[in-house]
Amino acid sequence: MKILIIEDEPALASSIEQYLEQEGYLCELAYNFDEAMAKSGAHEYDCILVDITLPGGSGLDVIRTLKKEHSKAGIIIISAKHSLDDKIRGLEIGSDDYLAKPFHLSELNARIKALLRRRQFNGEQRIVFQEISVWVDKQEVQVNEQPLSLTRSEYRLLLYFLANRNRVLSKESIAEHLAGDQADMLDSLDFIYSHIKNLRKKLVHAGSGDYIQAVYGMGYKFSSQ
Amino acid sequence: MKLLQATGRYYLWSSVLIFLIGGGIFFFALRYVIDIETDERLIDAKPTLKYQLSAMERIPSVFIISDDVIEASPLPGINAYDSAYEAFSDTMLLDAVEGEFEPFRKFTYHEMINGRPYRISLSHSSLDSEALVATIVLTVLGILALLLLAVNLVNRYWSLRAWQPFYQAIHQVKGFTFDKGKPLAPPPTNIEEFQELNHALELMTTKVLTDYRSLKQFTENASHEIQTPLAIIKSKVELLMQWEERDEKELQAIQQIQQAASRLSRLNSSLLLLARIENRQYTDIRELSMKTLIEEKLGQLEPLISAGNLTVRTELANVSKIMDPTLAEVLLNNLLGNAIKHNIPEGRIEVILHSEQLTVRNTGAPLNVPPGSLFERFRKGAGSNPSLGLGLAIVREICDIYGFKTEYTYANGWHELRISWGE
Repeated sequence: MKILIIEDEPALASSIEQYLEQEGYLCELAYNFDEAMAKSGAHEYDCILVDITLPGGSGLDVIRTLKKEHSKAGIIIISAKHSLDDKIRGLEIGSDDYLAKPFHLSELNARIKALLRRRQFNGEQRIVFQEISVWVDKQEVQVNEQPLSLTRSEYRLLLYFLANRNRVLSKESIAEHLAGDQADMLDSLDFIYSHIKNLRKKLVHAGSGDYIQAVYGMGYKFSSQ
Repeated sequence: MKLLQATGRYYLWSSVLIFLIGGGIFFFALRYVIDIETDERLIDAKPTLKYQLSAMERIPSVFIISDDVIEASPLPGINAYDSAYEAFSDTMLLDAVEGEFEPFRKFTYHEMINGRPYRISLSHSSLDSEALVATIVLTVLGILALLLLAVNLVNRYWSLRAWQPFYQAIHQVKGFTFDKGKPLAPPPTNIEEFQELNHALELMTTKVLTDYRSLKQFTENASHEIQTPLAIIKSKVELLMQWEERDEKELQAIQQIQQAASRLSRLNSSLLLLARIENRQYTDIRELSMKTLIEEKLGQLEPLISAGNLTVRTELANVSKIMDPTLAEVLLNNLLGNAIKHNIPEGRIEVILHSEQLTVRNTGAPLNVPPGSLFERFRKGAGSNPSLGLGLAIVREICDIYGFKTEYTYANGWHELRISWGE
C-alpha cells in the first residue's frame, strides 16, 4: 500500500509518515505544490493525503488534476482551514474524506483504512481479529461465529480499536471519534468509560479474550498480547 | 447645567449690570441737562424780577409769581453785597396748595433793588422735570427690558435649533457599536463648528473601527497560526505514546503534555470560533429545519447521552430558521452539550421547540453563580470539571447575530436555557 502525504509542515508530515509506516504503509512526502504535482503525476498511490494550503498553490488544484487523470487513489483532505467551504468544495471535486487539523493520527489511520477497504473490495468486507469478525458492509459482529449485538457507539468503538490495534489510543481521540468534530467543545471525556466498559463486558461475555487494555490513564490499547 | 443655561445666565447678569449702570448714567445725564436748562431759565428771569421788584413799594420776604417761589431778604450792609454771587441748590419747599413738600431748584443771588442790597432766592418747582425724567428713564428702561427679554427668548429658541446637529451627533455617538461596523455619519449641517465636529467623529470612528477590525483579524490569525504547532505537538505526543517500555513517570509526563495540548487546542478553537463569529464570517445563511438539526445533533451526542444514562424527552414542532449552518450546529451543540455535561447521572433532558422559542431543560446541581453571568466569557459554575467557560458566551454571541434572546433560569433542580426567536 502506497500513500502520498502532501503536507507543507515537515514536522507534521514526519509524524504522519512515522505512524503510517508502523502500520505497514509505504509513504512518500511532498512539501509543496510542485512536488505534489510531480509525485502524484508520476506514481500510482492507493491513498493521497492533501493539505489545502500549500506553498506554490492550492491542494484543491492537485485534487482536480488527479481527478482529471482518472487517478484511482483515494483522497483525504487534511486542512487547517476549519471551514465548511473547504470541506464542501473538496468533497464536490471528488475527494473521499475530509479531516480538520489538528487531528489524531489514530483517527487518520482509521479513515485511511476505511477508505482503502471501501475501494478494494466491492463485496464482502470483513475484518478479523482472533475470534472476532466484523462484516463492515452489514455492520455485524461475530465472536466465535456467534452474532454479538452492540450499540452503535460500541460498534464504532470496536471498529476504531480494530483499525488501530496494538496502538495506544488517547481518550481524546476516542471521544472525538465517537461524538464527532465538536466533542472537543464538550470538555469532559468521561462518557467514553461506560462505552468501553460495556463493549469489554459484551466481548468477554461472548467468549472473546479481554483485549481492551487500559494504559496508565493515557488511554486504551486493543491487543492480544 | 446646560450650556445654554450657563451662557444664558452670564448674558442675563451682564445685561442687568449694563442696564443698571446705563440707566444710572442716563438718569443723571438727563437730570444734568434739565438742571442746566432750569438754571438758565432762572438766570434769564433775573432782569424781569429786578424790574418787578423795583416797581414794588414794599418787598415781601416771600411771594409767588407763577409757581416760582421768591424770597427776598435785605442784606445787612453794602459790604455783604457781592454782585457776582450766584448759587444753585436743590431744596424741598412746602407747596401751599398741595400742603406737601416738593422738590425745587433754588437760585440764590444778590441784587441791588432801588439802591438797597438784597439777597434773593428764586425757586422753581422741579416736580415737572422730575416727573419727565422719571417717565423718560422708565420708558427707556422698559424698552430695554423688553429688548433684553426678546433677545433672550429668540436666542434660546434659535440656539436650540442651532444646537440640533450637536444633539444628533451625541445621540449617534451614544448608539455607536462595533458590531455594525459602520463609522458615524451625523446629518449634514451648515454650521462650521458642527461640521468640524462631525468630520472629527467620522474620522475617529473610522479609525477606531479599522483598529478594532485589525485587532480581531489579529486574534483570528493568531488562533489560526497556533493550530499548526498544536497539530505537531499532538501528533508527536501520539507517537511518543506508542513506544513500549516506558516507566510510569514518563507516561505521566506524556499524559500531562497531551492533556495540556488538548486543553490549549479546545481553547484555541473556541476563541477562533468566537473571533470568526464576531468578525461576521459566517454569512452563508439558508433556511434550516431546527427540528431536523436537533434530531441529528441528539443522534450525534447519543454516545454521551447513553454514557450518562440520561433520558431525553423531545417536543419538536416544525420550525425553520434562516441561519448559517455552521452557527446553527455550534449553537445546538453547545446547548445540548451543556445539558448533557452539567447533568447528574440518570438525569433528564427536555428539548422543547416551538414557533416562539427553543427550551433546553436539564436536571443538575444548583447554580452557585448568578445565571445571567454564565453568558460571560470564561465564566463557569464553581467546581464543574475542566470546562472552558466559553460555551454559553458562544451561544450568546450567535443569538446576538440573529436577534434571538437568551435566558437562563434555575428552579427546583432544573436548569433551563430558553432562546426566544423574536419576530
